[in-house]
Amino acid sequence: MADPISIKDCEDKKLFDQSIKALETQLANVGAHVTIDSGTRLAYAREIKLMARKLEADALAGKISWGDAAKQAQETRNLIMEIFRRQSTSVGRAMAQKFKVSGYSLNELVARHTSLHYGKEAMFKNLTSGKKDKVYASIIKSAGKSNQKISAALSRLSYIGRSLIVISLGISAYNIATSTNKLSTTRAELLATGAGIGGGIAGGAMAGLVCGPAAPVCVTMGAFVGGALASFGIGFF
Amino acid sequence: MRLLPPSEFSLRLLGSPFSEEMPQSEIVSNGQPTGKIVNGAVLETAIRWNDLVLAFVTDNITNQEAMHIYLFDAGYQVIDSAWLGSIYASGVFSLVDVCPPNAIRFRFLGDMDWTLELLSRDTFALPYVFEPCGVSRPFGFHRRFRIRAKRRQYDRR
Repeated sequence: MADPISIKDCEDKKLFDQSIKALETQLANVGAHVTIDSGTRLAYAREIKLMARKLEADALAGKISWGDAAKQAQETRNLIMEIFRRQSTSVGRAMAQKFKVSGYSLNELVARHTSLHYGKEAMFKNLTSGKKDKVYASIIKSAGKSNQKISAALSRLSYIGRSLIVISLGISAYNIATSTNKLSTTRAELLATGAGIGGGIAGGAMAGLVCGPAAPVCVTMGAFVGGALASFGIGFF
Repeated sequence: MRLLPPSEFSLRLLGSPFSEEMPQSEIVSNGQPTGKIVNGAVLETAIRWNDLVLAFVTDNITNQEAMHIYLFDAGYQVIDSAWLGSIYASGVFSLVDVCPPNAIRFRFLGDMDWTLELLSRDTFALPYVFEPCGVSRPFGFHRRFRIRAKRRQYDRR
């Protein structure tokens, strides 16, 4: 007959192991969120730059006027932003919605670039058509520019995200290598990591429904709790 | 505390507005170049406070607009600064109010009311903590201004 204390010890150990596993999988969960969101923002910046270059080339080739190109740069930017926002995680979307998409109207951009090129006193309507085109060209150029400080922050985030995933994979590899039943451990590691990431994404989405979209703290908590619960729960199967 | 007109304080962009590099500008005081260089392209507003000048300067990058806030002494040395920006949003500056004796309310990032409070002397502050989301400050234990952000209140009537 088995000693009841050792059975309890065994159950406690299993619970402890699963809790530790759930925490370990949070590395992959956080890493996946950070990698997806920073990658999406970097892709957005690249797409905006391409759009600006194409509009500039079209205007130089005389396919469209500089004024139309500047207007398109303004309108297309919002469209690209919306597409990439949908590709973000719920945490990334919540952050973006908290800050809201804002931007200068075309009229404001025209006034700003006129004053930058021709001084504070200059009025766009009084400029020659050549100077007006220069203002429009400046707007298109500016639309395609990346803020290097923001790009550097995104690159750092992307690196951190990928590092967390690598650390999580490293822990899994170590667990498999030191296990006596490698097949079973490999299955358990795959399930736990997958559940951690999937649960995190689902948890974030559910928290977004409960707290509203522009609540990054709540959505982040949801993603964390969702990932931990899913990873913890999968350990029972 | 008063707004400075361009004739008293302005910036002269160094290099071309078409350049891909991050913009830098020279401070021009009373029409005279000072030789002092700061990051940024567009002077959004400048405010004189005692013998100090507070300047809000943006980079003129339409889709990733960030803002530098500088507090200059009488010789245009930077005595405190901050950077406002976000990987998630582009800012649009508007000055809401100058509130004597030492506060400025403005809008920039998101649906927030930002308040900058000028401090008459160096005040202890822990680096990286208690700064609102989107604000980055140089490492240091003293501040000459504080920044707060509050979600914008709408009249529900």
